[in-house]
Amino acid sequence: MSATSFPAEAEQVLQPAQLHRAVKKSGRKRRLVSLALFGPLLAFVLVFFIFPILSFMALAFHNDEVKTGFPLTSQAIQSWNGIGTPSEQVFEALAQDLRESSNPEAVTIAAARLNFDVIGFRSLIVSTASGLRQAADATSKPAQEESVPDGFSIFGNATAEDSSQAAAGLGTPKQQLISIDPRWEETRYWAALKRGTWAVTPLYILAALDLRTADDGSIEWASPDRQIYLTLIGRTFFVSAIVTLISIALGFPVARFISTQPPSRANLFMFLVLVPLWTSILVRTTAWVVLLQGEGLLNDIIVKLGLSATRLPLIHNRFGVYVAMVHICLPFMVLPLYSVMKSVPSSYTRAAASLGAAPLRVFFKVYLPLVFPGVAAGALLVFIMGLGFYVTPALVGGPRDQMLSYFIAAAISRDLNWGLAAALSIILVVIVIVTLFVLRRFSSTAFTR
Amino acid sequence: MVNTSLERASNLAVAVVSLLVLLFLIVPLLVAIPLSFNLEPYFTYPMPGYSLRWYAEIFGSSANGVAWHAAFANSLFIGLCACAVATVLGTMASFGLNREDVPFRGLVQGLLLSPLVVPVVVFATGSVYFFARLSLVGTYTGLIIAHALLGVPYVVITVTAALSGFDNNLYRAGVSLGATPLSVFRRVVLPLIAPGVASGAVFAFVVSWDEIIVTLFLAYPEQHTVPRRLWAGVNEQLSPVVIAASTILFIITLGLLFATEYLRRRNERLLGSA
Repeated sequence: MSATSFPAEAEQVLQPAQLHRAVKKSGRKRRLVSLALFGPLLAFVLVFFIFPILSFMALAFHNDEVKTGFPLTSQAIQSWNGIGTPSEQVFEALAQDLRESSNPEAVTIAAARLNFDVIGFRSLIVSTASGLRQAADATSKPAQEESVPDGFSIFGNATAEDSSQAAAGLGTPKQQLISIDPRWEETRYWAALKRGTWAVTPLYILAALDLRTADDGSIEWASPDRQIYLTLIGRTFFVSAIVTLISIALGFPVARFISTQPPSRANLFMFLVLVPLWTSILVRTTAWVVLLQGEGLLNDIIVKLGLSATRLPLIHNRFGVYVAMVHICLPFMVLPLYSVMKSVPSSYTRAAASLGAAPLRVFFKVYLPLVFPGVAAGALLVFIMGLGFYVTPALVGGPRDQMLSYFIAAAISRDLNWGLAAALSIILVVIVIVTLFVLRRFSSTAFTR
Repeated sequence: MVNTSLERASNLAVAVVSLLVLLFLIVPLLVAIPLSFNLEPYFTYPMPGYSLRWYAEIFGSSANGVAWHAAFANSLFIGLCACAVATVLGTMASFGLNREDVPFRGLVQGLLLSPLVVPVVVFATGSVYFFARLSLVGTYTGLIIAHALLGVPYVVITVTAALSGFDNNLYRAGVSLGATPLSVFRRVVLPLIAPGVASGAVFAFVVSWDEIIVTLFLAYPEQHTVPRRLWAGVNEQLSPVVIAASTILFIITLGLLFATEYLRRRNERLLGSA
């Protein structure tokens, strides 16, 4: 065992088992000190960065709006087999939920949630709620006509035409609801209601991929007018890829040029690369707004030089986005390229040339493989940065140039749709992580042979 | 030879393209900045005259000026606090991770660098959701925590780089001579890696100083920072005041760039001689 490996002197001081324990103990202590040093930051990042993001992303599967807004219906509809319309009992529960809700705000939220699944569901609930209320008013206080209460929108939207349906306060709950709004005869509304009672919902992730759950439980394409997100994902990918390619095309010669300069001049040129890198993205974008706008400088020059008779639209379109994004990303391409190119001795390419290789062959067979890690690192950096761009497209892009980040922000601030924002965030982060792994693997294997 | 003339031509082409690209990088800033000295509120050359009126508006005591003062004060306060949090925690962590046999080092490092990879909008929305439950939305604490997190990776990267040139035997020598680990860290390690720590701190400050996306989500409506006022200015109506404020922001970050460049060279000298 381990005892044999210890020298004789050690055995006199400590028994092997004791020594082993002492070594283990000091190792444990060392690890504890390390943990005490990086633990606080790790905890900080886990609590305030990782956990908030994960708990926010979990909202994409969150599904308790309908259960909270329509508690009785949610219970009753479990027995429905999904064919035709549910039983009287479910209609009765729904009528009760709408009539006697103790939490009108929850009903409003549930209506918004259902409306995201089936467009028109909100108006169905609004009309049914007001129809039921009028029916109730008609039976209890027939004389009172103006009984619209203040407060939540769903309960405050009774219109004159609803009053004609108020008489429908007769018959079974099913007949009553269908007479208020015949849409209750359609299976799709009930199917959406039942989907709203699932423990978790695939609704938002599917919507973010232009898909939806069909009434029979299968997955189908969303209606054409709601198919916007695959285009958006594609656009985010595409814009980012174009910016990366332009950055490679522009950054490669610059890095090559600077790496061949004497040190003092190289420092000056690198300074020109670093200054924009250090300037706030907002300031640089502002500068581009000044330059590119209709009355801006670039248009002045174009008109004065006679390149175009009229002022060109250079901003609030894709052109402006590319220009400003490349300007922001380019330093991140030049820096890794430069550091790799500086480390490639010029004797390699000269040796290849002296052995008779043509310049192009030297470039492709010797120089490019040597500097490829720099290209890959820069491309990875720029592409991942590009995927998350928000400020620049928002300020110099048009409505059709906005990327995933913009729609995530808009889903929350404009539509208050946290589930959709979470689903789009999941997709964005998955794309970033997959890119990271693919490009890293690619960059480490592509030219090693 | 044919090759050399061809080579010369291609070198010339590379040089011309490179200078044009370098021009592209720097010209927007050089063109926009003088417009902040324009007499008239237009963005065209030639300028009808020069004036400091837009700067006077920022530094003056008009309502707009007072709002700008508050924004600068907010940015400075949040930036310094976020920088302090990120630098202290980041330096400790980098030192801890640089020691021998750290369990799960790769995973921990990946987590500490994750704020660099996750798109900021995702973090911004996540923090709004989570910070709201802790009543941290619209507070300085919330903004400082968020900005510190975005600065953490830069501190970890620069301090880890500084430590990679650090000879661990110096630490062992100090401890074996009887000093406590803390005093070895304070009197031996820290002075040697100080330039790395300082440039990490500058990075962390600049990240907060320029940050707009998280601020848009987390700040309360009147809680203005300089980038937030710029954002509003560009979105609503571009005025030379916005360009003047951008110029001030630019000059401050430029000063910090010089500071880190100085620190970087000092770092190379220190570690080179160690």
